Amino acid sequence: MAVKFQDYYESLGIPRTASPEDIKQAFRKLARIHHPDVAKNKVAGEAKFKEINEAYEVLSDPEKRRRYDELGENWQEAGRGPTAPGGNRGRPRAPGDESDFEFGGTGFSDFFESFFGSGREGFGSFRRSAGSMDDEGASAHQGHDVEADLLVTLEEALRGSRRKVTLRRTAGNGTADRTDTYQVRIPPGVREGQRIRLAGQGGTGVGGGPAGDLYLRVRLARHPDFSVQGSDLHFDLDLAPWEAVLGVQVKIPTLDGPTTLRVPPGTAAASRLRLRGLGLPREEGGRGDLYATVRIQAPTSVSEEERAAWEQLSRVSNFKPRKPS
Amino acid sequence: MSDSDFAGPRSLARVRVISSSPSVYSLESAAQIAGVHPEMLRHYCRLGIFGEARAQPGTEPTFDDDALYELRRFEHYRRHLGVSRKAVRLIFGLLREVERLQAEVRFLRGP
Repeated sequence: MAVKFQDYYESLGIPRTASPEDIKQAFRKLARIHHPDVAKNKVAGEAKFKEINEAYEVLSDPEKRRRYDELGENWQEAGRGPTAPGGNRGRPRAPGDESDFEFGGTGFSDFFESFFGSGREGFGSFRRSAGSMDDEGASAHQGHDVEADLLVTLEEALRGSRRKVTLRRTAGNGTADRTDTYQVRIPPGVREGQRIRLAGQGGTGVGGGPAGDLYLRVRLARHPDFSVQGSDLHFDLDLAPWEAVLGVQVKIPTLDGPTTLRVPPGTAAASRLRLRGLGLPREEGGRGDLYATVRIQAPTSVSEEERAAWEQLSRVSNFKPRKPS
Repeated sequence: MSDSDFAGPRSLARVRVISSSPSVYSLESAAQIAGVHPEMLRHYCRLGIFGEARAQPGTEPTFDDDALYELRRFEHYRRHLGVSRKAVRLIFGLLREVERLQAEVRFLRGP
């Protein structure tokens, strides 16, 4: 099966030497353009959004980025090696045991799934292990459980959705491929790492044994504005120094559309302003909160007039940001 | 059987509608799906390996897809990889901690 190499640096339009901050900036910039909620061309926007999410998922994690960089040009050899993450791809296996799985509609490429996904072999995963390979010769045994990642946007996590996921099973022994299409219902309030079970859709059982299950593991898509902590969302609110001192009304994005937030006078940096009930659904009912964390930004260059005003302020102000040491 | 554009000439394509939520399994059906005796699963719950968070006093715990996944994996390690219950319990504690820390790191890295 053809696994296509994904150039994650190209996806984000950054050089291979990009710093973690460069990667974050590039992702946020592109995510604002291609986010499914704002993209002009929905279909193309969605495809691009998934692509940059996948790229960011790998490049924002130093360990995954290191592995990706090491793969480099030799990724195909790495994929075929017996000890590599995707080592079992395409190898003949026990009767009834599909040699390969190819997912569609999960939001992740087969390349990602092979090298960085939940379903890859190794510690903490059992893509094709449960119930299959260790009791060869025993009479009937259950097919293995299969696991794959499912990209879910925050909007989907808020409102729930239906997704079409395809699974193509390539049998190694010359029998026909089989493609199943599932309408997967994503419940509102789905959490990062949560698994959605499709009973009996995993590996085929051997000797009349039952089939294994298919588990889709939810990976919440990175949002250009919000980060997720449980059912709460966090947003960085950039303010000018005078806005923090004098107070201001600012328009901020939420998953429910833009809203106006009143910043009280005398707001310190790192203050968290809570917008109740604008987070994700809670397991116990209701919704989490949206927190706007204040970051005070200073201008890096000023005009003569501005400089004069700041200088005057520095003369008249009693404010002391540091405790006397 | 339904036709679809991604199916090649040698392919069989099937379309199934799977309703995936909200899945709540009773102790009996979770035990059956995972291939353990219900008494054994009750024993696991008493040991606090499964079901403790959702158990109401005086009622049996219920299981969701995540719990079922863990239970199946637990049994797999125990039966096929020859890992003792105590060791699997330790592995599960570590796996849950790893997942919790991964989620925390993901949050701290920000969007």
